[in-house]
Amino acid sequence: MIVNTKIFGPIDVPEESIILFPQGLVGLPWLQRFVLIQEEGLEPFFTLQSVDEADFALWIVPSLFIDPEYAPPVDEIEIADLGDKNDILPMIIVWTEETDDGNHKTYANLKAPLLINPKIKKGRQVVIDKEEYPLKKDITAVVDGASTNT
Amino acid sequence: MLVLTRKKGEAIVIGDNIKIVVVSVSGDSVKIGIEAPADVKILRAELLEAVKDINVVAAKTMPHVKVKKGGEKPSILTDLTIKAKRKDT
Repeated sequence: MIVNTKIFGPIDVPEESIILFPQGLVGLPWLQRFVLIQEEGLEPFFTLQSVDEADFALWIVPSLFIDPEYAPPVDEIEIADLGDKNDILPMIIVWTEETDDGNHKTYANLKAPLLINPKIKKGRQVVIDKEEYPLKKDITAVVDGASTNT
Repeated sequence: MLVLTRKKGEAIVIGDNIKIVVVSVSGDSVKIGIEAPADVKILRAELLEAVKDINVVAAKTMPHVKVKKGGEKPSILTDLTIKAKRKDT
């Protein structure tokens, strides 16, 4: 099927590549179908593109890249629909903000990871209600040349 | 919205198995106790709002960045990933 994307234009996506988030994203329950897009040279970063809203896309990265120790405590009940626990990959949302002096800072949301099981193509965004999991962790040091794409 | 007046120590029951108790009141703070089944997720509303706001902001300011420290993508993702190039900008 053809999916209209925010930064890649229309792309052809096999139906079986669609990842379902049955609950949607937190606060955005209608956003339930996504595709994972990889740009050459940008591994391990991905674009998570909404199938239903061309203008909605997130930049995500496996948690491993940001913190190899990242293992948020998640209630069993929240991942009950996500299949085998060992197949679940925490992906972290990354974004950029312009600072007052015109520079850019890049942040990662460690409080609300996207737990994705690639094998069954299902995901869920969970909220980790613990202080040591920040909503905005500055990761500017690991990326370069950021510019916003509003 | 249903609005009820409760005194310290009084409670409200929601459905069959959720109970909310007013534990104490001090100035404009109210301490609330909640009894609910383990599968009922309880979060402060402003936390969910904050997560939603970040979701929206992150979708608006998706960065064009170069990765300083590259990395392998987990092989489990290979079959799922669509390859694409950006439109000319």
